[in-house]
Amino acid sequence: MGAPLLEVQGLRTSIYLDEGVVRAVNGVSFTVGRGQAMAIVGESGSGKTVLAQSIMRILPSRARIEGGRILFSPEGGTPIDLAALAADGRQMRAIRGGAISMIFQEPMTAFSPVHTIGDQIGEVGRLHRQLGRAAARAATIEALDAVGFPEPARKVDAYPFELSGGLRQRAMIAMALVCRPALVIADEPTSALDVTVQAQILDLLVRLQRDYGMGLIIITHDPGVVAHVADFVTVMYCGHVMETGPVGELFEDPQHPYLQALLRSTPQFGVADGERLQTIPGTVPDPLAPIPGCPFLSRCPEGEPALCGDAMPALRTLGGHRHVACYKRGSLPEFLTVPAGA
Amino acid sequence: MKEPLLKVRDLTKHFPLYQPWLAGLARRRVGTVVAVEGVSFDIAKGETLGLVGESGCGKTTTARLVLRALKPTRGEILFRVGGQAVRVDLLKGRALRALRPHIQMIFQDPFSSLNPRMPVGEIIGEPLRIHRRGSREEIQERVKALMGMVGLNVQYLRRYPHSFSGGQRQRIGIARALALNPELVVCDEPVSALDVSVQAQVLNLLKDLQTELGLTYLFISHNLAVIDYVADRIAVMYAGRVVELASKRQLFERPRHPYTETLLAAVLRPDPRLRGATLGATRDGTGPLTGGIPGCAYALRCPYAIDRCRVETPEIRAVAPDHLARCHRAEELHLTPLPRRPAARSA
Repeated sequence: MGAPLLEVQGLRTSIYLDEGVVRAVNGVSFTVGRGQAMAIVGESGSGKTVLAQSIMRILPSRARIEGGRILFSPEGGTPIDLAALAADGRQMRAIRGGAISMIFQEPMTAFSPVHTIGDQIGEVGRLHRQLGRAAARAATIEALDAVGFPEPARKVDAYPFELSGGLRQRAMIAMALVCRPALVIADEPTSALDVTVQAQILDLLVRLQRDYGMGLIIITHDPGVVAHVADFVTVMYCGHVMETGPVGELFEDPQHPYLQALLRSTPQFGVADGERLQTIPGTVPDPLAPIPGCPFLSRCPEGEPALCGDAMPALRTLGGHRHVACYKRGSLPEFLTVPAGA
Repeated sequence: MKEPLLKVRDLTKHFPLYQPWLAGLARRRVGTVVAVEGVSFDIAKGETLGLVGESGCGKTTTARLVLRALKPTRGEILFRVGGQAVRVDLLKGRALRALRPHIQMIFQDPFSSLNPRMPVGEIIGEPLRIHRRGSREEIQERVKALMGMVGLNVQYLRRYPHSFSGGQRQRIGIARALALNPELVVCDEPVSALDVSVQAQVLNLLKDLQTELGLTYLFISHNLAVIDYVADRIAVMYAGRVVELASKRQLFERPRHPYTETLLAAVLRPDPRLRGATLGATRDGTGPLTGGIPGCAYALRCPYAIDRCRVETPEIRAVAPDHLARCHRAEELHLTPLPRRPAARSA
């Protein structure tokens, strides 16, 4: 049994703004196995996008990685620490877009408007697989075909503006796949799409991930997307991992008060007339103000300032692959005996 | 049924379609975009009508027509004010301005819909100043009352929008919409731009305000779970037309239009037992929006389309009591309803 595909250990990324420092990723650890799909869930400001940018080493200039390791092992050999590589060095450039590729949220702005999608997808093949012009075009058509593009041989010469949102997102997925990456990071891949198109794109992602045996990190704020695509889920809040584990167990039996409240407040079908949605009181704390303890304390129904206010709790094990960062969880044996699917 | 607050009949909006001409020095009209075509619905006082459909289907154009931010190409909009029905579509000038306080709007984007250079108190008070509702002091008092009503701290009166979170900004937009005591509020995707944990707060607020103030909502959303929570009846739009209109319960339990079935199948629910289950297997692409083409606009994507659907445009008609559908096969098809909610979580 070789090293896992990706192992993030205690990652810290900060953004230096004029107003102060945002600890956007504040000691995050998780593991993605080969062929597994990991969802990173969080609201805006939770640090999920900065986390993805840290792994890809495409952070904005004002942000930097300040600690931790990003161990990546595409073939199962000795892992490479991506956090220690130069962001624009030869090794990282070979990995970025090659062994790890990314699908962005907004397919209209992620593509160049003045080049055909065929040129843009083909460029990835030419750079990373040293394909010639004709071979790159053939690989592009093949990739477009794999993502369900109608008439790929003709549409390869289309410009992004000529395509619908759904087709643009398919083109982006084709671009991410053309090098057969070991890991794909999808940042809110369907948030900009219509519901019916979102369904198609998620179906496609699930199918491709299974067919190619890729690792997948899907970043989303939508618990519905998580349930549909992922094996494992990591729940982030204010730069911290609050809970992580298999999707089924986490959603059936959430343990962290934040995750419990988040799932209860998600609009769902079948709310009886007159019944109200449960809400999480308050708002996400100011990212510029340092919080010594648990960042959810001010909104937590179970929080005790004396217990939770001094230091962020470390991840505690709940048995199996489940971990939770809460002082009130993880030590009592009854949490370990809740049967899955209860 | 008592006389509805809003009655829309055969509402239609066409936009001219231009193409550059003479190397971009001029433009010429090359056709028409049929944004909204033959839309009819009623909304009773105190009711919420949900409007759903994909982007480009005409939801927002319909809303803008009801608000008279746009002038309809054809059709009638009847709004009851002071016991009389007013033809909103015919109003102009002073009469139109007199109508504005009665119909207000809550926008989708709480960032671009608030002037960044205006303090919150002025944003909320602006409609009152424009319509000359009281002295400076009276307006100030009303603004404070509105802020309290939507759950904003009155001390923030002089703050600018940038210092508020998305949910708080949406509360500012709601307070502004309610400043003039409107009867009808058009909500255009009011929670789509908000975080999930904040959506519930805003939805609850909108429901509470409706009960308190007897508001009537035309509520646009692409999220059926949100519509399910707020709406009494639902109109489904596709390619500029209403294709189905029914009570929420009928629509979810016995859909009559194939497009509604597709929408219901595409719903994502946070239930891991559904992992990888194929969602709506629909074909991509909308039908042409330029009009003049016979047949059902959905026939291109519809798995149940027969020859008749490609030549004869279906009319919207009653297929069951209080249930309208625009489909030739509405009676014979047995479409899949929304799957029942799985057993409750042990949260």
